[in-house]
Amino acid sequence: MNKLISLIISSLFVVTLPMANLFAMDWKKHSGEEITILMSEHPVLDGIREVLPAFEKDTGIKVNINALAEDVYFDRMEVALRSNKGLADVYFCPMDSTAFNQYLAGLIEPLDGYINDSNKTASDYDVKDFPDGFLQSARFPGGPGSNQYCLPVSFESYVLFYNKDHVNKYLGGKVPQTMDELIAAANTVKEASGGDVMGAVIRGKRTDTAIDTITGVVMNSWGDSSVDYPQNIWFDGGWDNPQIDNPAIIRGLSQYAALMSAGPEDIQAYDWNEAGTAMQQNLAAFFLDASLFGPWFESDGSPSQGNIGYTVIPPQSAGGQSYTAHWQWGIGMPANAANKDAAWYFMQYITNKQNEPIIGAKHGGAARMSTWDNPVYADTLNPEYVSATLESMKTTRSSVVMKEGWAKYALEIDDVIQRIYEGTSPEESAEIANKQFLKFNAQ
Amino acid sequence: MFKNSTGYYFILPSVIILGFTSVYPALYSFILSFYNWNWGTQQDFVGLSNYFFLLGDKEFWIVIKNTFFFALCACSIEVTLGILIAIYIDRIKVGAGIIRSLLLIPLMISGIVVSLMSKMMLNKLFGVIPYLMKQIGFSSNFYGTKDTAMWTLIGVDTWWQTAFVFIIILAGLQSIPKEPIEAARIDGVSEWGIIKHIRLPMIRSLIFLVIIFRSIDTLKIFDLVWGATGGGPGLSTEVVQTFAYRTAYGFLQMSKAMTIIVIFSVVVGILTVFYNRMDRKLR
Repeated sequence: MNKLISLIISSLFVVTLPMANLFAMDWKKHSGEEITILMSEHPVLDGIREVLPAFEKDTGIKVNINALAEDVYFDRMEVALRSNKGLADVYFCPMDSTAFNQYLAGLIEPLDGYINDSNKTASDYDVKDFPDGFLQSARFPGGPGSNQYCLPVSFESYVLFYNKDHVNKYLGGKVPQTMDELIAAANTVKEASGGDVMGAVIRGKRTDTAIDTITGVVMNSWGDSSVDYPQNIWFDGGWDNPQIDNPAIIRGLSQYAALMSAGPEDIQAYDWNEAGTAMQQNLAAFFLDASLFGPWFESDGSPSQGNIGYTVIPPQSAGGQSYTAHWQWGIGMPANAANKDAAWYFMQYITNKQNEPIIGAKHGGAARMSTWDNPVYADTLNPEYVSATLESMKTTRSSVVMKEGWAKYALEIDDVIQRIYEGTSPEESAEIANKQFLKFNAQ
Repeated sequence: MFKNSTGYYFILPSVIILGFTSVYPALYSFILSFYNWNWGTQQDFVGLSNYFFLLGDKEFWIVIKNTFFFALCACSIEVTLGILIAIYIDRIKVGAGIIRSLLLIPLMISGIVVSLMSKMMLNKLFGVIPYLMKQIGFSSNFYGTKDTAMWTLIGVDTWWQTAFVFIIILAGLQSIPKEPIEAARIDGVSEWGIIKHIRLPMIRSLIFLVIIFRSIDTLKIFDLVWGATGGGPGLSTEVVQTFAYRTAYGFLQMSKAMTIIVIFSVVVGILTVFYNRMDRKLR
């Protein structure tokens, strides 16, 4: 009997193995086709350029890159997605309310059909290797029955950078252990240096795009309280209940404004590039922003190379837990793409386990968990940076708010900080924002 | 009848082309301002609510105020300076060509290049101008604070566009017949008197034309503001065009953006009619 069972199993194995191969994905299936990818000039694109010759060789698909500077990218992306004729087959997808708005307008292609089709997706393409929290940012409409719309390609959490020389010179080498200490230390540096060194730099320019950094700081104040999506921390249980006046939110926004005050006089003109440049030029003691700045600070020829320390956002109390937020760039497929199957081949190729470490080494924000253990990736990065980023990943939560027209609300949150910075009381400023939120809802 | 209408047939192609390229987009924008269109599938008719919303929006009025402040200051300074330089250049005999060429250089540069150039040169961290000012003991903060950003923009626009006023006024001054001026000189009229009573009145229409052009241009300012400050710090340099752009592309509120432009176009139209009437009255 046992022999019979073994024989049947062996026979099934012999019969099904070639069948499995028969239905396995053929990387050359779309050979000769051509696709266009719409990208922002970002380190991810540098990595893509590196693996592109191998992709074209392995698949026979020709890839045209349409790359734009980030400030114009967002507008062009919307135009490309909304045009009648597809201008791109793959696009760089901001995995936040931008993608959600695009989903609502029916502009992006759902990906589950591709991911689950063994004819289109390689058997070793492990989607579960992406942390679930990363995938959820572009899984719409949210909840059961949702579909994946973009795949993460780079992740950034919000961490603290410090200039070792300045910390040694003005603070006796003591890195702040709490948020209050950080604000005090930044002010000390500013005063002790006579203004020559900026105590802290942070995005101070009024813009809705600062919301993710702001969320990182506020999440640190929010602590381990639950975060409910799609509203995130900004609403209490429903869109009709804005809670900018929540004490934890007020504290976080006030701390953000306090860091601005410890910065240069023209901090309100500083976006990420000005703030990052100041840090990279060793002109600032502290910088709180996306972890992705790390590889830039450590790049060859950078004045800050080897002089930057990396740590999580200091907790609210000594020995407490740090919390932060994260944001991701992803890769998606426009609904109007002309060559969708070839586009999917490209998408899975650059996000698979083999290529992500190569691309990730260019930006330091790999989205796959396995990549962080891969020496191709991890060995190229500063160990302190890796350690701080991994530490932040333990408590990070997504900054995404899935609400149509979220940018307007995000700008209002930034306005709260601007008002506090300019002298309005945090409570009054938060109250104004609450009213504005309700006004936006009514529109 | 046939003879009279022949001319209309000749201008018909122009009317069709202009109608399609000018009237149709304007009309389309106007119609869209009555909808709530998110640049996607949502397109609901909302009547005048976009207008009511904007007219009651504090931010919108700050933006209107900024725009008119910028236009008024930039236009006044540019026209005054342009006329003064033109009068001066018209009078000098040697090197006028060289000075004229040098003055025209800024005019040849695109707005976005001017904005980025100024942003770099005036940057407090790396800019050459703040550096030089620091060397002589002055601290500076051009685009960095709410108090200085708008005036810096006005200054940069003046550097950029004064040559436009200058070149038109100079052409006007050089086309004035010599006889009345010579007659005035023989009668002992001073140079200032000649300028005040002969030269400037004779090019008054040209001055009005320049004022209309510069007013409309400065009211429509976009590239300089977008490239240099992006409307900041805060809302201190946000102008109508950048506000409309942000509303359209940042917030995807296309209909609201159209409404902003419709309201603003009406204001610019009224201003142009006012200038024309003034010109006619003074003739």
